[in-house]
Amino acid sequence: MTWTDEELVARSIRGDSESFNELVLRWERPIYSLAYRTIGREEDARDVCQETFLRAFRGLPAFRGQAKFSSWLYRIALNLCRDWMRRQRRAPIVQAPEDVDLVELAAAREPSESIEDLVARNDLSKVVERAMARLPEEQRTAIILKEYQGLTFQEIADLVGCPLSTVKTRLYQGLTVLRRELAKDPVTTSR
Amino acid sequence: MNTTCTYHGDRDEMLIAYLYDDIEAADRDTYERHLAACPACRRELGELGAVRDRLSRWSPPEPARGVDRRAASAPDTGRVVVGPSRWLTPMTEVPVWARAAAAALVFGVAAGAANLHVTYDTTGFSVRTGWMAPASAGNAAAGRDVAQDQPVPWGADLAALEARLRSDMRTSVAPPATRVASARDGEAADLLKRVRALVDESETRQERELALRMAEIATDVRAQRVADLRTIERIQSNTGVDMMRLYRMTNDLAVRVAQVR
Repeated sequence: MTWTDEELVARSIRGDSESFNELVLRWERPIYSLAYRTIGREEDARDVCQETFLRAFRGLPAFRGQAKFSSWLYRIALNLCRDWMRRQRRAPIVQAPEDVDLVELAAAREPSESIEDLVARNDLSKVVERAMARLPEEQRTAIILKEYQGLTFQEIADLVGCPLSTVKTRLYQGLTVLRRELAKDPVTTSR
Repeated sequence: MNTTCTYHGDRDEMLIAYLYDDIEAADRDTYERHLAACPACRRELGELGAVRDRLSRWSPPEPARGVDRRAASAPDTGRVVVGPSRWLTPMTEVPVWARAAAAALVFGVAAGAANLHVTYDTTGFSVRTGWMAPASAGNAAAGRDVAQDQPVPWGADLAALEARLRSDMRTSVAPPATRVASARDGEAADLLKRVRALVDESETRQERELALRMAEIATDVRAQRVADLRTIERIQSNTGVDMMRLYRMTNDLAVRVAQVR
């Protein structure tokens, strides 16, 4: 039987640790992805993911279900990402090496992919990552939540605490900047 | 903002809502009517769609470790400890040495079975396979041990043959010296002929059985070889991931050192 998040939360609050494990299993990957795309560092993204679930676990008794559990988790994760960026006092670091990293490429290679395709895919991914890192935090967050986490405009507005129209404006502005940035790069324009 | 667009209302918001298909049905209809008459909006919609397509190429790296769910098992402390996660590959569940030992065992069994020798003379009955080079006496003995330890499909035939030979020999009450003389006898010659025919027939059947078994073993060895090669590839891939992580740590360290300076 598949429990909903809310049912698992209720069971966790009653002391069923397996239910919380199930929630972690269900959400660890989306939270890690959100953290990585927001702060751009694998190790720190993992720490944020870890800390998110720790805080969620501690905060379970106070969770009253006013929002969806996933929204609550996203809010915790985003706050942790903001804290991290505040501590860094600068834009997220993009750890893109100048040259092609063959070891990384070998690890990421898909079975039927030629080395040329692999290099191109890796380059494109790095270009997008760099372009995203140049966006203002609000625009980047809006794009990540919409594009990669699949939240609705309303959910994003609730999550970041701004009007619905602001979310759409941030997305429009962010995508427009990205269009300009990506157009500068020969890797993306040639494909 | 495109100056040639004549949309009445917040055009950017409408465009983005339409782009993500997160829009009320009535608004969609209205905007689609506008789109039909507005090349500027159509062009921008296409360009932003292309941006979205490029964004989809960005995927985070696989994390080496995830969240340890043992935290929930210790609600009193609420402590979360980094530990093995489902993100680790299943390879780590079985030690490499164990896999190598299993592969060696399969190969050893196959090779041992292929070199099977069964003798039947003063010490027993012998069948030699041609798959490998002729074995030494010691190997032959070892092969016989293997044959004796394993149940074989022709075992019943062998037992029947042995029983018949013993029975025939028991009927000849003469001592060994007399037996050599009686071998010249026609009846004994017939007996030997029948025995040879039986042995030949039995050997032929056994060789067929062995050939079948060898084919099966060869198939198993090939399958295991393929599995081992895949395992090696995965190990190499894991090593690559570890090196990548090391590279990133070094990179991170270099950035931090640069900041301190």
